[in-house]
Amino acid sequence: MLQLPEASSATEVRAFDRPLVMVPVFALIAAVGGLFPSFTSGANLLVHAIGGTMFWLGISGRAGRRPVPSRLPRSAGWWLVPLLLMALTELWAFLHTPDPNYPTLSLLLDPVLEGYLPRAVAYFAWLGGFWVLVRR
Amino acid sequence: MKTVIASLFALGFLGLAFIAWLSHRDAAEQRVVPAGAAEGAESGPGGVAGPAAARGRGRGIPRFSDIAGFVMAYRVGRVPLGRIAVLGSWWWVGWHFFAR
Repeated sequence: MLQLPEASSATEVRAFDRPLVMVPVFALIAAVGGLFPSFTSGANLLVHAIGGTMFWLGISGRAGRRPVPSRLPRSAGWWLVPLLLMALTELWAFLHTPDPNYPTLSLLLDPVLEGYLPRAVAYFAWLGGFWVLVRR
Repeated sequence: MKTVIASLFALGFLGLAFIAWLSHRDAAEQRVVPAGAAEGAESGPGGVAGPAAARGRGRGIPRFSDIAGFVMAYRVGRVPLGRIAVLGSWWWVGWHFFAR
């Protein structure tokens, strides 16, 4: 069993940290983010503006934090099964670059993310995941 | 080969979704189970019991956010190394899939 040197504790939860507030905000950002195709300045600017803001919020703790466990049970290892499968597959494909018969995950997802709706949905998922991490 | 690789990635995503579902179910169950009932219920890939057994014995699989929070709490001196690594990685994921 793993143990941290010091246990983390929760800090104040901000008033805006409610689904009623955050979901529309993220939906709006995702709707805008879906408009910018890859390899454009707009896409880069938006991702880095959002990423930088979230990163700052996460490091500074200004968004408040939820309590985190000081120990993890061994059952946490079950997460490694699909993650290792994907990581090894990615590595296998990456080692064969640039052979198109061995596509990496990003090459497989690029055609999917070209459409506006899947791109906006993926953007929303990325933002939601970021917020979960920021609040931890 | 492309089909094999795509299938392996799909299997990985399905696995993640399944484990996520189990962990959320466990978290919901633990909110109504007394704390004492959760003792002695560890399990893992190296053990004889599967995820269902871990759940049934009360401890269950932690949510991914709990694991991320655990990693993010790692510090080297005053530097929140775990937090920087996890948030930085997620930032990179967004850039890699939406902008690069």
